[in-house]
Amino acid sequence: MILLAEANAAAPAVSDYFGSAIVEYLPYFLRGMLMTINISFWAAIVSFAIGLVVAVLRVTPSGGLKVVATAFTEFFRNTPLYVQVLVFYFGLPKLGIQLKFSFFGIEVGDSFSAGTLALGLYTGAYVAEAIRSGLLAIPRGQGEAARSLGLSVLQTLRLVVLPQAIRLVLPPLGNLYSAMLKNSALLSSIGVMDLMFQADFVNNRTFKTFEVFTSVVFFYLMLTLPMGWFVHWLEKKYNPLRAKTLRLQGARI
Amino acid sequence: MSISVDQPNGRTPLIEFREVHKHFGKLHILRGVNEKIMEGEVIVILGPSGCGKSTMLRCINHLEKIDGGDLIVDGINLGDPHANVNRIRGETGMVFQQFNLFPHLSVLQNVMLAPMKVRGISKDAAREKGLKLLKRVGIEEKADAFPIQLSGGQQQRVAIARSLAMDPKIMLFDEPTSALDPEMIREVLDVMRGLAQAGMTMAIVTHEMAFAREVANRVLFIDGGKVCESGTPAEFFDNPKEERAKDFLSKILKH
Repeated sequence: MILLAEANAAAPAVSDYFGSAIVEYLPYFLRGMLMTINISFWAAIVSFAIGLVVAVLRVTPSGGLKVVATAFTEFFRNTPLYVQVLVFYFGLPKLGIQLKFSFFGIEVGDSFSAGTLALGLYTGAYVAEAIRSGLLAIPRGQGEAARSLGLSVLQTLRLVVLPQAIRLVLPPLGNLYSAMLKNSALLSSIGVMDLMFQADFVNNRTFKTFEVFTSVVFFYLMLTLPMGWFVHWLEKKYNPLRAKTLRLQGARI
Repeated sequence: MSISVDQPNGRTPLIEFREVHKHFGKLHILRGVNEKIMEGEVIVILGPSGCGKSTMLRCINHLEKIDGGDLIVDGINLGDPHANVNRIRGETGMVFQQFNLFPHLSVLQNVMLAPMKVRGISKDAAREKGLKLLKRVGIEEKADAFPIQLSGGQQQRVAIARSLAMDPKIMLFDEPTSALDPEMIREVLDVMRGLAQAGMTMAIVTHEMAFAREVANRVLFIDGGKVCESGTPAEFFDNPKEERAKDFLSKILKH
């Protein structure tokens, strides 16, 4: 009894109710959420850029690059993300690739760069497949009309085919980016201090496992749901084949 | 190889086919086409389906590469692998059966795109030109609409304006009214008639015989991948020489 009383005296002076650990450690969770947003943002940029390039290479007739692009997609889609994360984090430094670097005076840690790269490339493989399906769905006449007007191959792609393909694959892209945000939880394993990492930390401090992890579920929902709404809004705004879209764009009917 | 001979009136042809061949896999579509199209001519190309009419047009603006012979368009030989193909495409406007308007762009943006991106003219100049052309095809009030909001006939007229925006030397029409509802055919033909009267060089693949007879300077009858007969509409429709042309006409004029 005396020991317990002493222990209580040492603990922070907060009332102990269900969820008290969450309130007490809220700044940790918020910092974790910011990191999850941050790393997901950069991974999204990496994955979109790589997905775009790989998708285009896969539908062009040129042989060599097509093989490379296909190999990339198959490799990253058919191995576990967790393994890829570990390979990037532990493997790249062994190959002499420096993961820590300074970007316009901002120090980027090795877990952050390895995590961004692994998550970005893994998601990029799926993004490439989504965009490729969009490219294949655009009628051939679109490219022919653009070419017959004198637009170059790249202009045709950039101004006519890709804008339509991306609009077409916005729903699957929304799925992929929602999956990516959730997958970012794996990066806590290499020390990225994201929401999952902070949850582990708080759990180890408080042992309030149920409270901590149920609240983390809600913190993730607070990130993924608005993102889903945003993608849905984009769909409505940019899909030229929907009457609703036309009204949003202020077209005269 | 034949040598380019100037026509009696001293003009050189805008387009010249010399023994042009085209295969699609094992299919031998064009089997030695020889033909000249002069500036200001309105040519209607007729023939049974699969005879190579559309392929002829598609070769002119290099949507199909020719496999043999020479095809000289505005002084550039498309049979030459180093030919500047993009330049030719800008000079030869193409109107497709399926319109192929860009659905993500407004009507006006469809017309403005190529002059801005290929010719490099300013946005304001492109807009002014676009509105003028939309007015010419009678559809300026739909400038801010999107293609899906237009009827087929309206879409095809926008497609014509879009091609005209590049100031082409020749307009190619590949069955421009075949995908249209009957009541919309006339509005498109009216626009084409206006172009012909304004002196535009045109090559038209169509099944509109009355229109062909009215606007064409010359009718080409294609069969078996070759130009089978060539003559004025009066000669061709009233007094065809070739047996195959007679057979074709009997089938399409009496159904």
